[in-house]
Amino acid sequence: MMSLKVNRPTLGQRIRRQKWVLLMLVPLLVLTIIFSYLPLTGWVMAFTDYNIGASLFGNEWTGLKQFVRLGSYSTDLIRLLRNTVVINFVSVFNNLTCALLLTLLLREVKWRFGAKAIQTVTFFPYFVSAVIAYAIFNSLFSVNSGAINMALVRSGLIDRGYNILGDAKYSWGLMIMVNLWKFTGYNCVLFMAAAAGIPLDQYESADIDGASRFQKAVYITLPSLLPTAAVLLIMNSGWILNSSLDMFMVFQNTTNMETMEVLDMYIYKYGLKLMDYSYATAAGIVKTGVSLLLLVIVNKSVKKLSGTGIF
Amino acid sequence: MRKFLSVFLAILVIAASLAGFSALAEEELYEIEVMTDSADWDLSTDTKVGQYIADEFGIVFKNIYYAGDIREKQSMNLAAGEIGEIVYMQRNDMVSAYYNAGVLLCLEDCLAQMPNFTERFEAQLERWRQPTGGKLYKWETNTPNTIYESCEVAIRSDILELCDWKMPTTVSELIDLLKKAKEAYPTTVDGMMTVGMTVPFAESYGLQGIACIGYEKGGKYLSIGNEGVVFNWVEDRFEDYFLIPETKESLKMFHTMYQEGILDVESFTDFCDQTQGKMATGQALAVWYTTWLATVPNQELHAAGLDDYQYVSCFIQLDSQAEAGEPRSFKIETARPFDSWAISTSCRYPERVIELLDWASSDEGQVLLQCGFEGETYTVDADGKRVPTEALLNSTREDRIAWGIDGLFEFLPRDVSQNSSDGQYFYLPNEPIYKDQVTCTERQREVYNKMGFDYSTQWGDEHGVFVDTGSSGSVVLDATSEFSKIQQQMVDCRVKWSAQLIMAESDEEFESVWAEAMAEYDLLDHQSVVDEYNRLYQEIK
Amino acid sequence: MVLSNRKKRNGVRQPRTVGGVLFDVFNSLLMLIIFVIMFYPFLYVFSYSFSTPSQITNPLLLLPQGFNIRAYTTLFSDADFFQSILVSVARTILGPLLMLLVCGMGAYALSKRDLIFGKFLRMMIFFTMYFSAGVIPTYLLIKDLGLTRSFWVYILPNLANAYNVVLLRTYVESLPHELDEAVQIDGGNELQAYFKVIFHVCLPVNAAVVLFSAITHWNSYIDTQFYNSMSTELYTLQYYLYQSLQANVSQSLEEAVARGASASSRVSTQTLKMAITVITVFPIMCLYPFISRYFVSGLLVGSVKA
Repeated sequence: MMSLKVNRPTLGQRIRRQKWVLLMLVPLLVLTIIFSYLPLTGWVMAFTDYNIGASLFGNEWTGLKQFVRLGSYSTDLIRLLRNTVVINFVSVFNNLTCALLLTLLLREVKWRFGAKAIQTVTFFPYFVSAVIAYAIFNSLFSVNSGAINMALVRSGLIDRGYNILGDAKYSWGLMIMVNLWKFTGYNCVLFMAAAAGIPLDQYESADIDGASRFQKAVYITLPSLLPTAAVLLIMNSGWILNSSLDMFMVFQNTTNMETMEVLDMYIYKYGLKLMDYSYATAAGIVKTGVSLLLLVIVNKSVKKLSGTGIF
Repeated sequence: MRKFLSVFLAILVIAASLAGFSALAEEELYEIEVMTDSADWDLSTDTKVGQYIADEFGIVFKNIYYAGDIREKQSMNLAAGEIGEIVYMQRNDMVSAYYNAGVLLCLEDCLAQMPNFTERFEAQLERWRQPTGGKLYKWETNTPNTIYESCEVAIRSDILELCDWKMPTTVSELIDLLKKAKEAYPTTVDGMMTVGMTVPFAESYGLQGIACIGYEKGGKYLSIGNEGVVFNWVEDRFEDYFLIPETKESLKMFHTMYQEGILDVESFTDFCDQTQGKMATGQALAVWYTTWLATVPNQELHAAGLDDYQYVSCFIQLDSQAEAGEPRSFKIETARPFDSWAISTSCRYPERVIELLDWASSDEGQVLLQCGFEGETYTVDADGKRVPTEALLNSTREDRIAWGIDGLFEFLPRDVSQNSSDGQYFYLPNEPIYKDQVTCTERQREVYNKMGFDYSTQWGDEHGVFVDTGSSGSVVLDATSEFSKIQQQMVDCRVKWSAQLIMAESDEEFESVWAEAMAEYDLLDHQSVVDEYNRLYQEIK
Repeated sequence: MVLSNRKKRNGVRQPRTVGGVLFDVFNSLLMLIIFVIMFYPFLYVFSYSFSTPSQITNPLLLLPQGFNIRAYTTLFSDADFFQSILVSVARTILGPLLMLLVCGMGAYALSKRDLIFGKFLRMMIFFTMYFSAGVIPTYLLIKDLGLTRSFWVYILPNLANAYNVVLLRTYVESLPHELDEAVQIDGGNELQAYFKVIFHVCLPVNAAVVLFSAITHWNSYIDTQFYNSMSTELYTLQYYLYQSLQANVSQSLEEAVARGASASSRVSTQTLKMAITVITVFPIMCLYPFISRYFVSGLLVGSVKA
């Protein structure tokens, strides 16, 4: 009540009061401006007739020509968007849920060495480069010589191997599994860190109330992890249109193209590979716009649902 | 925490001094850094030829091997203005980009100081000149190169016994052989299932480049870029890749193999790594086109005592081509725009580089660069002919690198034809009689002999016509034009339908899928792309 | 204190119930399955790297077939290999620590509710995660800053990491306010509050972001490829390894043929790739257990009491 009567401090007063806080912010701010915002001037390429080797500025203005081209060429856009969104959206959801579950279950493992070992190996796939990942999946899933198909055929369960790597109907599932395999351990690290921050006395008082392990997990651990999950969900939602080129370059092939081709591959193929930087930049700008829109929407909805938002 | 900080500071100092090192290095010789896509050498002075260059010309080359897409790097370097003294530019659109940015040194006026260069590359100079302005800025290496040693079909050599060691020369002979082989050898000695014909279709050039390549085996077409068009050298014009009958016949070939169960269905998801894996165990009975993959597996097979399985390259024609008695046209690449080099304006001592270029173009220079030193790698007999020494004939690639020959220093112009004054190849192992000893394994030579050949490419020499690609090889669409976008769509369309055609369930279905594919293809303005190619071609000519 | 905390991570031990035992059995089984699924690829890569491809007869590789260490001798027989390790280690230590300094302080500042232009600044940092200017403008900037052919190109552009800022900030925001206020009542400023208290309380999340950042530094080769490819003495391990793959991305058939025809005899590339993966992963797999000890609950309570 007191504060209402006090005059609102002037900007100068506030700066002086917050001088230490602001000082701590300076390095982050300066670096962000230099390395993230300054190069954005390069987006001017999308609106001019840029040729490699010329300066970024002073080229002839072409207005929205590149954007119009983008529109006229993207008869496939719907398909590309569908593939991109399905694969990435399900992956985000799937990865976070599984990592959360794994964290809860890992905390119930009493054999500490075992828990550590699992934590360590689940992290391993994150380091596997796309080419190696493909080699592994190929040795397991290729239609004739893959270990799994061979085992199934030999045991008489199926006549012919599943063409997981080369059939359009499996590609979404395949990429979702690959992502899950690759990122579960990574996300799990964050949940483990968040769980480490839960004050012990919460568990102690639950014990006094006679709570079971299940109850403690559901009523103490899980709620404490949800804000982290919400933050991760929001952050990841902005990347739904981004796909790892490395991965798609190896897993995409002509036979599963229909369901495997994603937006980033298209931009790569029709823009960068053909050295048409203006076109690629225009496509990048559109993608960024849509991503930010998605991000804002998801942030709003999550905030409404759980009260946690990022901005 | 304090301990931590001191470690931290120590590392800082180390890092900073690391960065400083390069600046301190004293320059006695003129060191030129060249970015290439070859990992074979680091410093030119590590090799004998390179040492000679350093002694005579005071120039040392440092090879910066770039792993990754070098074209992407070339365009980025140009964009950022990081131009080396000698620059590598892959394909003519890159050359034009560099030229337009004004970073290339004009060689036109220097030609007077380069008599050897002018004489040796007289035929090529006109093609190397920049279309706009007509002046010389670049040179290409390894011209005129005859491409015929690889790129046909590699066959597991033991199965050739099934056709009495007669090389299958047509597609139907090949299919018969593979059918027999699949029956006779259902598994390898290690009990692994054999897979018939396998192809790394998943590579970027897989379905796009080699599924329809049958046109190349006849007497009419040459492959130029393998995108939307092929070059008909008989009629001297570009034609639509998808619409020529050979394309359909090639796909039909794979379709037949697929139906007969002798096409490895995993081909569609295999990269070179996987194909090589299948070759290393002998699972692949044949490999289409990518015959160069056989080198490592052949070594592995040899080491494992499975010499019988080693792969040999055979020549193949489509049935229609063989029936019509067409020769096999091999291209002589007089234009190799993907190996373009230039001196940039940031070169510190251009006159010294030009002096070196001119020396390299002389007979003396070519012999030394390509074949090393007399007495070591070759001797001269009584008739004045050069004869390779045993050391050269039995050398490994590592030996040749230590000498500094066999394609090192790729920016120095090399003439790989029989152009020398003594009528021999500068690089002696290019002579058919020596070639096999250097490039083939013992088993391969044995198999070629069994098939009745004195050397590996004999069939090619007997049945081939050698066609100069001429300036057709230099035609390239403007990347930012609509044409190149349409061309990409044409390629996408062809590639997409190729897979479906190969995997059609029956002959009738093949035809109906073909009709569907054509209908979709016709939605694209493909004729405009072909016309543009021909227009550009006329312009260059 | 810490020791006793560990023993009863989730509180005091309770009498076992039938359901509890069943759950333990089920959980152990599940963990075992996960372990196998995740461990198998590692085993595969490891075994393959010691195998001879022509002798791999069973695609389900468990042990090396045709034992052979050629891939490793090829890699280890080069002096540049060790130089590149030095560079990689330097950036992997220096990068994450400096990053933590910048992002930690920044995140703490951004977590202040009454920060001037707080919302704007938070958004400004946050959005950088979602756009990139493209390779060419970035390259031009790096060139203009004089960072090409320099060690610092590994460090400086990676210091401000919005993702880590968000993680750190979320964690700080979840802390009780008393922590912060306690120091300020004692007359300290925010800088002191951060380094004396908050930093320590944030250990788990600090460890997590340092770990992430270290992995990124250890794994990255793109910055070497773009900015330092002309300076062989600044090659990182990853770029060195990437090079030995001779991963030529041939765009057209003609180039593939030209490169293929001149390909020299090498170790089977597949084996080499596997060996490279093993070399890459090994140090991090060894380091990981030490870092993961920060992810054990109870630290927060301990530090508050201290």
